This record gives sequence, structure tokens and C-alpha cells, in this order.
Amino acid sequence: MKNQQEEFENQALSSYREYLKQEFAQADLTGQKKAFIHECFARESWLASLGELGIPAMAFALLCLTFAHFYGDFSVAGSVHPMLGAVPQADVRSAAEREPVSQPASAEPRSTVAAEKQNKELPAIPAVDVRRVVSHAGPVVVYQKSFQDHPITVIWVFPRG
Amino acid sequence: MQRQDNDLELVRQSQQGSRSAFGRLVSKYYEMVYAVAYGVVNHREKAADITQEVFLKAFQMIKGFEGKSKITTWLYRITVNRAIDETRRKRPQESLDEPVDTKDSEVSKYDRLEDVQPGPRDLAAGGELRELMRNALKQLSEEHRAVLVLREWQGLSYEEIAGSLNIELGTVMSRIFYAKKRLAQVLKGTEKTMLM
Repeated sequence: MKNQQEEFENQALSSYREYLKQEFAQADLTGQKKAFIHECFARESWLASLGELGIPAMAFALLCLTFAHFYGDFSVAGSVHPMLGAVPQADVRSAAEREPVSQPASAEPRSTVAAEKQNKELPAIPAVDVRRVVSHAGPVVVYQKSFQDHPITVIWVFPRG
Repeated sequence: MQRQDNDLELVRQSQQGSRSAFGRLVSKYYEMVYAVAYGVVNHREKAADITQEVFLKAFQMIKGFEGKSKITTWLYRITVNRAIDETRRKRPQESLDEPVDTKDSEVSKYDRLEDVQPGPRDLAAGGELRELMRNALKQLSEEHRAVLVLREWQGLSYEEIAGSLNIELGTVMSRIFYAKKRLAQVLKGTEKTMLM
């Protein structure tokens, strides 16, 4: 009985091995293997070529670049966008030297009396300091003012004729 | 011994990040890993997926391989664990790790399972062996299928199986004993049905 049982078990194991053999023969393992290796393990990682110090060195370089990007100042003294022209120098003239604009331009000559009368009637226009920062022979004139100044009024004056 | 030295050199290169060196290991052991995976899950596509996952995981973990055991032992362990996880994902199962001296109760537990016999249509078609074995193997747990494939297909000794799976020698012997008996029982029952 025991021998018969052993014989059954041996036959079962033999069938088991035959079953696996047939399964693996049909599975195209060679093709799977080649495709897998080609996809995942064919080429060397470029990191591996850097060696033991390469990766820390790269990490340090990246850190420096990141720091420089956010905290570094790469501006060149005096440089400015080409549309604006040269950086204007601070106007060091005194208030008296600056061009006062106190009277509106008029097309016709007026008498002195009439002019005086008009001046008395109209509220005095406060003196405005005009700093002509940039002067171009063209439609665009750029004025520079500080943030605290009152809103600037630009008056275009066109000469006669 | 020379084979082991070659493996150690490939492992060393792989640990330094060489994909091509690890690729040579894959080329060497792909069929072995597939066989073990298939032996546990009994499904071709799942076995193929598990095989590739095992090697990808092994490449990630290669730096942790200290070389105290053979690379094959390490691969067997990863493969069996992954394959068992895969089958348990679909079907939760109670633990089968019982002491050696309760092998009778272990046998009786599985005797309570119903025999699933292939229908006449399956037997009549070609591939009777395939159907017979598939159904017979369904009667075994993943753990029993794992020790069976390592013993009967890979040819490992009981000690090697115990080392690979990190289980007791007695547990290995118990599981193989039961797996052989159960397989013979189911196939014998099928044979009787066929003769009727």
C-alpha cells in the first residue's frame, strides 16, 4: 500500500514536471527576456559614469546655480533696457535752476495789463519741477519721478510755425 | 564556484550603477525567476509581470545585497514573496505556517476542501495534462506551490529552500510532504473519474 502510494506520488510529480516543461516551452521566455533587458538594462546610466565623486559634485554645482539664480545680482552697473536709453544721471540742479512751468502757452500776444489781470484771477499754478530726464527727437519723452511725487502732468508745447 | 565569482563581479558592478552588468544577471536568471513565479501563481501573464517586477526591485535593492548568500537565494526569496503577495491580493487567505508536529491537522484542513474535477469537455480537448495539473495545483496554497516548484523544478535541497524562504527546515519538509500527497490524491481522483 505504501509503495503504491509512493508510486502515485512519484507519477504525480513526474506529471507536474512535464506540465511545467510544456508551459515554459510555450511562453516565449527568450523574446520576453530580450525585450525586457533592451528596455530596462541595455544602456549605462550616465550617472554611473560620473564615479563616486561625480554625483556629489553635480549636486553641489546645482545648489550653487540655484542659489545664484535666486539671490545673485548679475546686473551690470549703468545697464538699462535699450528702449529707455542711457540711465539718467540724478538732477543735481537747485530748485531755482530747474525749469519752472507756471504759465500756459498762448497763441496770441496779450497786453501786459490783461495778462496781469488774468494772472490775478486765475489761481496760481504751483511751481512744478520738471526734470527733463531724457530728450529724444521723437514722440516719446520719458520723465522719471520718484514714487512719492504727486502725479505728474505732462504739457506738450509745440513751437509756432 | 567560478559561476558564483562571476555573479559576485556582476553584482559589484551593478551596485556601482551599471545597468548592463545587471542586464547580464537578468539574462542569466530570467527563466529561473519566471519558473518560480509561474509555479506559485500558475498564470503566464502574471508570472511574466512578476518576473519583471522582481528584477526591477532587485536592481533598486542591489546595494543592500551583502553577498553572504548566493544571488539565486536572494532572487528566490524576492520572487516567492512577490508571487504570494500577488495571489493574496485577489484572495485573502489564513496563514498556513503551522508547526511540523501538527502535520496531521494541516492535512485534515485541506481535506475539507472540495475536489474540483475538470469537466468532460476539458478532458476531451487537447492539453488534458494542462487542465489536470492546473486544477490539481489549485488545491494547494501558494506556500505549498512555492516549495514544490523549488524542490521539483529547481532541484533545491530542503536546506536551500529553507534558507531561500527564511522558514524552518521542518516546515519545508512538511509542506513538500503534503503537496506531493495532495497532488497524487487529486490526480488519482481525476483518473478514477475518467475511467468511469
